[in-house]
Amino acid sequence: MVEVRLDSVSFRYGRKQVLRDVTWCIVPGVTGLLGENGAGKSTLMSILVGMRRPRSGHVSLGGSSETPRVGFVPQRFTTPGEMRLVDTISYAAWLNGVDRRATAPAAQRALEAVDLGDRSHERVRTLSGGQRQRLGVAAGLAHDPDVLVLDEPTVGLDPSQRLRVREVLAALGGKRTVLLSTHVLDDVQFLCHRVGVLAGGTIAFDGTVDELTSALARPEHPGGGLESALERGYRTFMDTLGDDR
Amino acid sequence: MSPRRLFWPLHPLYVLAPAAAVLLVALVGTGQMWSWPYLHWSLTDAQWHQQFRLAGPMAAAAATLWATRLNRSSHVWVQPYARRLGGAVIARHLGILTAWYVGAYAVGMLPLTVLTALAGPPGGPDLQVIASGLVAIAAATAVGYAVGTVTGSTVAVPLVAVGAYLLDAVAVYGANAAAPYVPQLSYEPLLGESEPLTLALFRTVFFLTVATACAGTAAAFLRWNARGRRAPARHAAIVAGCLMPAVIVGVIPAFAAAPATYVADPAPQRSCLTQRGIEYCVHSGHAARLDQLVAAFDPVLDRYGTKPAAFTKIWDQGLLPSHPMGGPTTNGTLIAPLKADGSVDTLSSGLTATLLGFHSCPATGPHEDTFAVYRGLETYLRTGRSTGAFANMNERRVKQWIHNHRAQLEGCTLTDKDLPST
Repeated sequence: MVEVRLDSVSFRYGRKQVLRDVTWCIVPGVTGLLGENGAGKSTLMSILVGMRRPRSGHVSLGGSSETPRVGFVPQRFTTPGEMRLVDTISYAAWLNGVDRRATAPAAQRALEAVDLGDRSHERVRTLSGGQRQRLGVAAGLAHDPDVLVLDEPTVGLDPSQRLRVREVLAALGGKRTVLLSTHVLDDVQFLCHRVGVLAGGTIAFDGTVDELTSALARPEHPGGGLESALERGYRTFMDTLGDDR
Repeated sequence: MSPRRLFWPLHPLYVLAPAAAVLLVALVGTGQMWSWPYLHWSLTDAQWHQQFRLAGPMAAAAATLWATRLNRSSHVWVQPYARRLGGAVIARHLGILTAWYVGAYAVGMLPLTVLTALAGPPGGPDLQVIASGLVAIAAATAVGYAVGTVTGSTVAVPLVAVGAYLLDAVAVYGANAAAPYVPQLSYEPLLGESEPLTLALFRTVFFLTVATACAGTAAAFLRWNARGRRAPARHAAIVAGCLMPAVIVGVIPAFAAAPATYVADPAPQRSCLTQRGIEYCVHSGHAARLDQLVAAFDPVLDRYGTKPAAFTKIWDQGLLPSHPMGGPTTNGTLIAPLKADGSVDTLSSGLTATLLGFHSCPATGPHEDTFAVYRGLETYLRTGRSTGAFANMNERRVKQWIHNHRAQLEGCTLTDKDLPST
C-alpha cells in the first residue's frame, strides 16, 4: 500500500499562483479532492502524476512497493475508435510495463472490473459516453497500479452510468491509493474514506467525509431541505473560508 | 504465436494494405523489365532504389497514419508514468512498420533480381546498393512516423505522401549533388557503369542516420507529450545527439563535392569487327549483340553509299558511358545505346544527323530552302524509301546525289541550287 505525499508544493501559471506550499498526505483508500472551479484540482493532479513539475516542493510516492505503479485517468481523453476494447487496454497495460504475453489477461480483468468484459472484442466507437469513461478507468488500472488518480471520472455521466463507475471505484479503493477529483459531492459521500478541499491554493481541509459533513455543517444554514448533509457541510466550510479563498 | 501479434495493437489493415500497395508498385514498376533480354546487374541493382519513387511515399504516408492513430497526445495511454512510452514504443511500432514495408518492397524487387540472375550477365548483385534502397524505405517509414507523432493530425498523411514524392524532382534536378541524399538517382546506369561503393555506403549510412534521428525525435516527442510538453534538458540532449550525426554525415559533405552518380569501368573488355570501313565495338557484356549493332547501323551506311568523314567507329555506349551522344566524339566515334530491352537506339546516336552534316550547321539549322532535301534524305537513310525531293529517284541516283554533294552536306553549305528538282 502506497502513500502519496506532497511537501510544500507550489505552482503558478505566469503570475497567477495556483498552489501555495501544499503539504498533504494521501493515504491508501479512496480520497476525494474537492474544490471550486479554477481552484487548481487538475493542476494538483497533473503534478501528482508528473505531467507538471512544481515550482517548489516535491511529490513522493512511498510505501511497501519499491517503484510504485501509477495509473491516471484524465478528465478528457481519446482512444482510436477502430480499436477493439481488449487491444486498447492491452496496449495501455503494455505501455505501463506489463509483459506482452500478460497484457491480454490483464486487459480482460480490467474490462471485467469496469463491467465491460463481455464487450472486449467490440470496437471502441460502439461505446456510449459512460462506457468510454469506464474504458478510461480500465486503461488506468490494467497494469494493477498502486496509485490510481482520476480527474472528474463521473463528469457528464447519467445517473446509472455514474452509479456503475462509483461501484467500480469503490471496489478499487480496498487495495490501492485512489485519488479522485470531483464536483459531485455524492461521489465523495458514497466513495471516499477521506476528503481534501483545495481552496486558496492550499489544502484547506483534510479529514474524513463524516468530519466534513457533521463537524462543519450547521443545520440552520439556508438550504431549504434541498441539500444533502455533505453538501451543506461543504458549503458551510467554503463560507467559513470567506475572502481567504 | 497469434497472427495479431504481427500487427498489434492496430487493426491488421493498417499494415497489410500499405504493405500490399508497396509490393504492388514494386512489382508493377519493374514488371516491364521482366521480359527484357539484356538485363545487367547495375540496372537491376539500381531498381532497388529507383522504385522508391512510389513505394517510399506510400510507406511514409502509412507510417504517418499509424503514428497519428496511436501517438496522439490526448490518448488515454499517453501518460508520464508509462514505462514504455518512448524508445520501447518506437522500437515496437517502427519494428512492425519497417518489417512489413521493407519486406514487401524486397519481395516486390525479387522477381527482377531472380530473372537477372537467371539471364546470367557477368558479375553479381551489389549488396551495398541493394541495402541502400532498403534502408531508404526504412528511412521514409521513420520520417513519416516522426511527422505523424509530432503533428498528431491525419492532415499530415497526404502532405507526407506528396513531400516524399517530390523527392523524385529533387533527384532529377539535383543530379549528382542530390545523389548522396535522395533515394532515387537522376538516371539509371548503363552496362559498364556502376554505383561507386563510397556513394552507396554513404547513402546507406545517411538514410540510416535519418531513420535513427527520426525515431529518436519521435521517442522524445512522445515523452514530452506525456509530460505536458515539458522538455527536460536530458531529452533535448538525446534529440540533439541523434540529429547531430545526421547533420555531420549528411550536410557537411554537400559543401565539399558532388560525387559521381555512377563510375565507368576504366578498361572495359570489348568485342569488335570492321565492316564497310567502320569499326563496330561492344562491351564484353554485350558480346552477343555485336551483330545486332552492325545490323542496326550498316544499312544506313549502305544507303549513304560512301565512307563518312565524321566518324570511323561506332561503339556501344557501355564502352564510353560518360560521353555525350548525338554526334561523333573528338576521335571520330559514334556512340550507340544498346538498350537492355533489346533495342538499339540509332536515333540517339545521331547517325543520320551526322551523315547529313547537321553538326556543321549554325544553331538555327540549315538554310530554310533546303529543309525538303534534308527531310527526304533523312527518310531515305532511315528507311530506304525515296520521298519528297527524292521521290522520283531510285537508290542508285540518290547515292550518286549524296556522293556529288558530300562536301556541301558536311559543311552545311547546301543551297536551293543543289536541290535535286532544280
